[in-house]
Amino acid sequence: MSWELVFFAVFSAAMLLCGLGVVAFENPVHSAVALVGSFINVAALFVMLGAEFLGVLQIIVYTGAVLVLVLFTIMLIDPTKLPEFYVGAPLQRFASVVVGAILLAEIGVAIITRTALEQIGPHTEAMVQQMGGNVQAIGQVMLSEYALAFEIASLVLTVGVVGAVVIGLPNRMVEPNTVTMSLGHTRGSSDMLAAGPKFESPMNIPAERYTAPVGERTVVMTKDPDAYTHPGETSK
Amino acid sequence: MEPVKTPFNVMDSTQTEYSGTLMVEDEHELASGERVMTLNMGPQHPSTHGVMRVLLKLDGETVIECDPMIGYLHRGTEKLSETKRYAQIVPWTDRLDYTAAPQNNLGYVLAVEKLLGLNAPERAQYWRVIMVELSRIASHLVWLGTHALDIGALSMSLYTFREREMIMDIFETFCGARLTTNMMEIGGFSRQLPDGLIPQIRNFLRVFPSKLKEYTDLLSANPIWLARTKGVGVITPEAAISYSLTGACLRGSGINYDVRKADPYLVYDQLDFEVPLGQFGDVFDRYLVRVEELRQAHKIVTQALNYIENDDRPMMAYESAYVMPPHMGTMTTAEDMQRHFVWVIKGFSAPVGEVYHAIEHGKGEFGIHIVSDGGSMPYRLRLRTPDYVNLGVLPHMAQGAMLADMVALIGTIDIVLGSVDR
Amino acid sequence: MGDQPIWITFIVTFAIMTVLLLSMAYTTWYERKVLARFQDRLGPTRTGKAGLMQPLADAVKLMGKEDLVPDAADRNVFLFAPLITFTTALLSAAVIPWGGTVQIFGTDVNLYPTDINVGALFILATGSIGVYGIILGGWSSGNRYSLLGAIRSAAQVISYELILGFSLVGIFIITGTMSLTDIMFKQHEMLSFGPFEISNWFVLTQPLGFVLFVIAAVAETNRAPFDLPEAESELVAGFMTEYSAMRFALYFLGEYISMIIMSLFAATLFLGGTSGPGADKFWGLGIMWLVLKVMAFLFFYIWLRATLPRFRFDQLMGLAWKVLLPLAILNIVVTAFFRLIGNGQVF
Repeated sequence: MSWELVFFAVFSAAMLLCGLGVVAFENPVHSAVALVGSFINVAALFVMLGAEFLGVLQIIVYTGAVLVLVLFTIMLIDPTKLPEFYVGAPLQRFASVVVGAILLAEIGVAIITRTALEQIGPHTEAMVQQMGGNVQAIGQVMLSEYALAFEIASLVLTVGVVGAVVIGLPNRMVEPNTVTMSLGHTRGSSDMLAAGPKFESPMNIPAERYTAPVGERTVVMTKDPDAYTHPGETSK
Repeated sequence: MEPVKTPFNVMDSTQTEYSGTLMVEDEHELASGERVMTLNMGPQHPSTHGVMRVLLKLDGETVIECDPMIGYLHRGTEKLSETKRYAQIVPWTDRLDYTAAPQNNLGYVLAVEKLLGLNAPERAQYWRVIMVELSRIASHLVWLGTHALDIGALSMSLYTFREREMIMDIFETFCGARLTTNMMEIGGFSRQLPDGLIPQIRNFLRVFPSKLKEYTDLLSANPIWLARTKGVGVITPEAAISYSLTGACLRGSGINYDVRKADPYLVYDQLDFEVPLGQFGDVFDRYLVRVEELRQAHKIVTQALNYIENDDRPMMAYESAYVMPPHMGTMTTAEDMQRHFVWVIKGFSAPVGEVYHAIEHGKGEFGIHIVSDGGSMPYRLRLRTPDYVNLGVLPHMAQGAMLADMVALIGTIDIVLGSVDR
Repeated sequence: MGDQPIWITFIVTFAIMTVLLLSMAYTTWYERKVLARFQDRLGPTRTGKAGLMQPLADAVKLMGKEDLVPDAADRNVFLFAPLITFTTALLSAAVIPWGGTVQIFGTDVNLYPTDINVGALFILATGSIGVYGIILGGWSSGNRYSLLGAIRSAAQVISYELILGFSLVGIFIITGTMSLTDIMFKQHEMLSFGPFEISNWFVLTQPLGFVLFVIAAVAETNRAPFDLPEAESELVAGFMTEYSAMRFALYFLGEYISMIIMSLFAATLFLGGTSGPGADKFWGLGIMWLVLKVMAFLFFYIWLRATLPRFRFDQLMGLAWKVLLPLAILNIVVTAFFRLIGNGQVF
């Protein structure tokens, strides 16, 4: 028994166990963590097959980005308020069985075509070596043979991003409390007084809240306690 | 043995809002589709400048509602003062704003002097100005250091405390204490100036401008500092007046009100200084205003020291009956010894009346209202501490701010909980 | 770069791990000392000469503390999370070369644990797993400050890892490889401009990429001014609030290892790794140059921490997506264009 087989057995067993954990754990965060473990083991299997690039991408994209976002969402959900999974709609249960069977069949067909029927694709080991390695081969194929599919995929993703932004746009904040004027301050004044001195100050922006004024900023210096307090009498 | 039961159950979502560590699960629905999270900031939190508690309602990281809760440091200074003779209250005022004890002392002492109709000699008044302005520098330095530390500029606090240490040393030379100075006396100063005080102050005045430049170099043009302070926590002039703000919070919004100018006390009307006013009313403007106040305080101390340096007139209004007689007199003459005995045993009986006196404290208008029934103790003493009033504007500023802004907003009001809770 | 018996690999790996763990302990001392000098202080002085035994004292203290699990915590996840951060940070060291193949006692020794053809991506991948330690630790603490720290961290790491990856693409385009060993030895070549000869460090050909990489690396390691997940002024200690004793230390050490790894990574990618005067003649000199470069990077990290205030969360995100990402893409486009010119495929 070669070491490779041992490692394969270990990784795949771990992967399957984690996969089982995903559906078996009650706490959704635990499920997500199990999914992380499963993904890492898949990446390890990729690396064992000599597809290091795919393995690393599996970790960066799925583990590092997609699942983080999933976890991000799950963490904020109150686990007690989740719907009961096991008594879901019968239609959904039926559909899940069918879709699962189809996916399994697809994998089976792929395996049978490759091995039993010996219809190996164009990218044999020799071919990949000739291209200069796995990474180079993927790059070549992606951007030449499958360029259209590649572009369409990125377009779909862009549409998804734009949609998410539109849906997630925050509704504007509520207006801040309107302020009232005090009548009794020594140096302040009020609009409410009919003949009262009009309020004045060097502060020259309207009550805009969320915009930061740009440019150099200085303070106004005054020696006179009456400057900027009465109408007609600005800086002396 | 049964474990001790806590008075509240952390898992009980009806109670968690007011318990220490909050459970994640207790988010509740606010409006249709909107979720808020309650976050309890304090009373043990590094950025609430003491034991203040702020109850925040957050939508993500945006603050929807902010509710500051105070009283964790309440010591009943006002009530205690009713059982203390006038001269005994001065040390209690130290503990209000403990970063600026001489200023609290001065506010109280001036109020009592107003009640007694007493005027300290000119030399004492100048020395009071010097000490109070040094204390203003110290208090602003504490503010600058902690405010910058809150926003994340780690080193600022150590730089500002380095210079504050020089001021503390000056206080120590002057009166023997560093933090709670108990420096001012009713009627002036009863002791001689210690040797070496003036060179020490001169040394500080020589060093300080370059250090101040160091601070502003580090912060005023720093893009992150600008991004964190500009346009954050805007207080309009109307709001500033309506919330009855004073000090840099008011002047940052462009309202020209400085007690030293508007209602001069001591010898401020004879000194040449300017009042800085902000133009936009945001956190950055209040920063600029306070930094400029540091410069002006330096200018005032220099002027006052130049004027009074070679003066050797008495520092105490000994001609008044309300003042403890000089030590030499107590030891040599019978009249002074009697006066001294009565003063120490019974205190003086203040005239019947009611006075309010306000000074421009580092944090705003510090006012003392004394009601006297003619006894040796105040009938009622009311403290108008500036940061207590200024703190009221926090919920107004916090609406729509980010959680990270909260620390900037708490810092910009410049609160000291000893003064807020009294 | 031939194959070697597995026991030599084990020895090399063991040596590198030992050096890394020791240097991690002394990075804490280095940070304390340098930060103290920035702040007009002395730093640790009481533990041994110049406080050199401080890491030891810290370790003893941390091990002696109670390992506390809060009532509200999700116990298993809470206990497990710090290990993720620590081990993944350590794992990244596997692909970083400390030199080529050298002769030691007449045996060929590769001065790197392994040389996979996607070495650069491997470091990004371990970094992206490492964030789980922070997220899970923050969530499982059952504390809102921790949760906010975890959420911030998740968003921050996703954003900045993108920039970290994009800033490297320029180098991949130039060298045509993702193996760190190959990239490093590409930089040992000398460029000559008349009488002057300078090393072909990629910081010269990829200056924009270098700047972007350094910014993203600081954000990736949660260091100031991007230390939002643990911003002590608003979030108390962020995701670490409820941790104590050795589990707290694991997070702490994980952060320091990430700092060292990122410095090694940057030195290898942009500053020629072991390249330097005399490095081609004696391998030890090459390692010395690498260590010096790493120390310079660590100094830069500490310098930032001593100087800059902290970003706000929205500003951090704005910087990543509105400024750095377009710049990174621009860098890729420009580099690709020049590569095509070099290939003679344009003009």
